[in-house]
Amino acid sequence: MVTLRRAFTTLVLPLALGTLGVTVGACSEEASPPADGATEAGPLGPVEVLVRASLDVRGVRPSPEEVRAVLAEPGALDPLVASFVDDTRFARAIADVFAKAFRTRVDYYGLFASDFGLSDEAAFHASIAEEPLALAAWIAMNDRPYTDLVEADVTLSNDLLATIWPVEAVPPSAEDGWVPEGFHLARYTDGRPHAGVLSQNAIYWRHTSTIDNANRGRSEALSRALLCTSWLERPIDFPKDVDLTDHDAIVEAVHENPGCTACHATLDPFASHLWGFMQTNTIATEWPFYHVEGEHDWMTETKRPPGYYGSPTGGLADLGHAIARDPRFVSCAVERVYGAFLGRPLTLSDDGALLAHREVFLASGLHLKALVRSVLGDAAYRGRTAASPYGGAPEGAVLKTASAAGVATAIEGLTGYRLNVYGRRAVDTDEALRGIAGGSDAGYPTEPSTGLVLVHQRLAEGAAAAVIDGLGSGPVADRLASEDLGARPAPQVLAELLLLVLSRTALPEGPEVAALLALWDDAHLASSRPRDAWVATLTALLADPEMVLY
Amino acid sequence: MQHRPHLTRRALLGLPLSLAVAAALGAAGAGNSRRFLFIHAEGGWDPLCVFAPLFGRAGIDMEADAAPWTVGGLSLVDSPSRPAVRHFFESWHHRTLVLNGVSTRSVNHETCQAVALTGGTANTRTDFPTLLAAARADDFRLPHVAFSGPVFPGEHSVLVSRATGLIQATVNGELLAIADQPMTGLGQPASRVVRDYLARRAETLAHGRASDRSAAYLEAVRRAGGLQDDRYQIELEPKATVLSQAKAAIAALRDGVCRVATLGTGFLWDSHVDNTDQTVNFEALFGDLDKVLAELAVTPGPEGRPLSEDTLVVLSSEMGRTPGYNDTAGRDHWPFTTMLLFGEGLSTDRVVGGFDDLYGGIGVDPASGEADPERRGIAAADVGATLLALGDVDPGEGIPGAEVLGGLLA
Repeated sequence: MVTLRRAFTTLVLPLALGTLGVTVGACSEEASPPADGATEAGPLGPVEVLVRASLDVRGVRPSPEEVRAVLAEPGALDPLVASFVDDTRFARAIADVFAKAFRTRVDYYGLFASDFGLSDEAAFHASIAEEPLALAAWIAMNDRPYTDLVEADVTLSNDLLATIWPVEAVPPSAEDGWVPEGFHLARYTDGRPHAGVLSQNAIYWRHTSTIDNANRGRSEALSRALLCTSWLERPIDFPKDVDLTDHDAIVEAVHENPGCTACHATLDPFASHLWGFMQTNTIATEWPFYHVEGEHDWMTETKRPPGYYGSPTGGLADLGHAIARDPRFVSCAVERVYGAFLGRPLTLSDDGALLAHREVFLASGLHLKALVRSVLGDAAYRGRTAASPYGGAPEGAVLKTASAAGVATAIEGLTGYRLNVYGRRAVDTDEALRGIAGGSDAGYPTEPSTGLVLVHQRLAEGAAAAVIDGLGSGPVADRLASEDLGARPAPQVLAELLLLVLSRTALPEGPEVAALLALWDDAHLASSRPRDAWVATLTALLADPEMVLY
Repeated sequence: MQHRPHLTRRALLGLPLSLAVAAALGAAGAGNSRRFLFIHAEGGWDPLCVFAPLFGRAGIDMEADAAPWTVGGLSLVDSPSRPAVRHFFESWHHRTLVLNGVSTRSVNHETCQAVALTGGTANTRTDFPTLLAAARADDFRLPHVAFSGPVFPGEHSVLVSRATGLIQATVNGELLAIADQPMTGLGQPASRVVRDYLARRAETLAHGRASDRSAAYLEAVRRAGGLQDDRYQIELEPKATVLSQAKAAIAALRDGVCRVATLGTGFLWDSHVDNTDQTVNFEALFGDLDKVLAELAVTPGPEGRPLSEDTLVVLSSEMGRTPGYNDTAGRDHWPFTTMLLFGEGLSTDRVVGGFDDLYGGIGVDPASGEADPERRGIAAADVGATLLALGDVDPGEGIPGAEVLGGLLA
C-alpha cells in the first residue's frame, strides 16, 4: 500500500496538475521524487525500467500483472526483464537494430514484382528488405553464435522470395527450430559461397555497384554494417598529380600513390570478393543469380586479389571467416546494441561500458540474448550516470525517444490496430509516414520532432477509432468490449486503461482519472457524440507523451 | 523598396572576415530577415553540360552539339537541345553567381551529399539549411521545412519538418480515411480538445522531468499543434515537380511559416548510362527555376517586400561527373561539381572558381573571390560558412574551421 501511495503521489499528481494548468514547479510537491523512488535526474524507478525494457525488447508495454508484480516486489524486476529476450517478439527488436546497419528497408528496389510475374509489389519489396534481418533474428532467437551472421551456410526465405531467388528449403534442426513468422530456412543453389549475409541477394540489390565502382560502395556498406568502420570517413583529398581523367592512371594511383593507397590498399582487396554479384545483365530475371564465372573479374579491373586488411584470402567464405575473427566485428555488434538501447549516439564516455558488455558477449559464446541481457542491467540504461570498471562514466539515459515505428508497434500491441498504406505499414515507408517522422532506411532519429508528434497522434486516433468502432483487438479492445460506449465512462474503467496503456496506477477517484473524465466531457460537448468522446479519450491515452518519451 | 548599404569587397579587407560580414549585414538588418530556398539535384549533375565550357581540352569530352556561350558576365555551355536553360540564363544571369570546382571530396552519393550540405562527412553534423533555421527558431512555426531531398538535422531534429509522403493527409486528418483500412477519426472540435490535453501533458512532463528531450518534445507538440490549429496546408502534390514543391515552399516563406525551405529534384541525375538524360533534367530544372525566381519577384514576403529581395536561392548537386564518357555513353562520379546562388547580397553575374586541365577544382581567394590555383577546389564548407554569414549566423559554431568567402558578397 505504501508503494501504491507513493506511486500515486509521484505519477498521478504531476499529470493532474498539468491537466489543470498548474505546473509542478510552482508548488511545494516539486521536491517529491518523481517516480517510483527515482530522483529527478537519477535512476529510473522499477516500473519505468520495466516499461523501457518491455518496449525495447518486446515492443509492447508491460501487462498490468507485470506492473503490479514489480510494484509489489521491486526485486521481481530483474528476473522479469531478463526473461524478455526469450519472448519471440525479441526478434523484431533485433531485426530493427540490424535494419539500421544493412539499410535494406527501402520503399522500392530497382526491380519490381511484375518483372517476375508477381502482382504484390508491397510484399515483393518488403520481403527483400527482411532477408538479412530475418537471418539476424534467427541467430539471436536460437542462441547461435553471432559469427553466423557472416558464416552461416543458410539464408532465410519466404514463399515469395523462394519463387524468384535460386534457393531450396532447408529442414531446420531441433536446435535451430525458431524462424521468423512467414520465413523458412533456405540455401542458395546457384553456386555462390555460403557466408551469411555476405551471400544474400538483398544486400547487393540494396547496395548496387558498377564495373567502374568495382564493388567499392558495397564494401563500404558492409564495412559500416559489420565493422562500424568506414573508409569514407577518412579525408579524401584527390592528389593533384594524378590525372583523374585517365582510367589507367587512376588504376596505377590506387596501387602506388600514397594518397590513394591509404584506403585502396584495404578497400579494393575487400571489394574483390564481391565480383560474383556484379550485375551487368539488364534482364531482371537474371538478377537473382550469382555469377561464378565473374569471381575473378578483379584480375582485369582493379588487379587487386582478394584479401582482408593485408592478409590474402580465398573467396567469399574466407571473407566471412576473416570478418568473424576481426575484433571489430564483435565490438561493432556491442556498439549497435548498446547505442540502440540507450537511444542516443555513443560517446567516448561509453567506452568502459562497451568493454564490459563485450566481455559478457564473448563469455556467452557470442549470443545476442546474453548481450542484450547485459545491456538491460546497465546503469546508464537504467538512467544512472555511473563509473564503469573499465573507465568512463556513461551518461544516464533519463528519457529516451521512441521511434514512430516503435510507437506504432506499441499501439498495435495494445489495440491490434496497424495503419497500413499501399499495402505496407505506414511508418515503415517514406512514401507514407516514415520520412515525416524523420526516419529513413538508416533508422529514426533519437530526438523528438514535430513530425513524430503528428504521426503519433494520428496513429493513436486511428487505433482509438478502431477500438471504439469494434474493429480492434488486444487488451484495450478486450477491456472495453463489455462497456457501454454510448455512455460516459466509469472512473474504474479509466483507471484500468491508465494501467493498460501507460502502466500507471491511478485511483478511480483520483485527479488523473478526473482529468480524463473532463476530457471526455469536453469532447462530448464539442462533438455531441459519445462515440467521439470515447475516441478522443482513448486517443489522448494512446498519444500520451509517455508513449514517446520513456 | 528598402535600400541597404552594400557590403563591398573593399570594406572587408581591413577587418577579420566573418566579423566584417556580420557587422555589415547586421547593421543593415538584411541578414536577419533573409530567407533561404535550397534546391538539390540528387544523383550528381554534369557541369560540362551547362556550367563548365572546357572545350578543346584533352581528356574532356564535351557534347557534340554544344558550344561556348557568354551571357552577361557568365561563361557557360550552350546547346540547341537546351533552350530552357538558355532562356533561364538570358533572364537571370544578373542574379546568378556560379561556383565552379566545388569539392565534395568523394564519389559516394551519401558522403558527397553530406559534404555538399554540411561541409563534412560525419553523419552527426547539421546541414546549412538547418543551421540557418535554428538561428531564428523562435520566429518561425516550422523553421526548416524539407519538402524533399537529403536532410541532415544533426541535433536540431525538432526544427526540421519534413513535408514528405503523406504529410498533408497527416496534418488535416485525411490519413485515416485513405489508409488501407479506412477509419473515421475525430472532427476538428474534438481534435482540439485532445491536442489541448496533450499539450498540458507535455508541459507536465517537461517540468516534472527536466531534460533536453522533454523540452524538445514540448516544443514539437506546440509546433505540431500550431500547424493543425492554423490548418496550414502544405500543398504537395503526389510525385511533385520542382516547381510544384517550390510553389509550396514560396507559400510557406510568404506566410512566415519557415525561414528555410529545401527540396530535391528526385534522384534523376546519376547518368552512368546515357548522359543525354542530363539534358532532359537541366531543361526541366531550369524551366522550373525560371518560374520560381519570377514568382519570388512578385510574391510579397511577411514584411511586404518582394520575397526576391531577401530570399537566397541555393542550387546544388552532390557531385559532378567524369570528364570522359564511359562505355555506355554515360559519365560516372566525379568529386568536383558546381553550385549556384541567386539573390541579393551576392556578387552576381559572375563565375568564380573553375576547373584545371585535369578537371580538378580550382579554389578561390576568400577575400577577393578570384581564382587561386593553389587551392584544390572551393570547399563546400566555405560555401556553407558564407551562407551562414549571410544569414547572420556565426559560421564558427556550426562549421568549425570553415572560411567565409567574403569575395562572393556584393
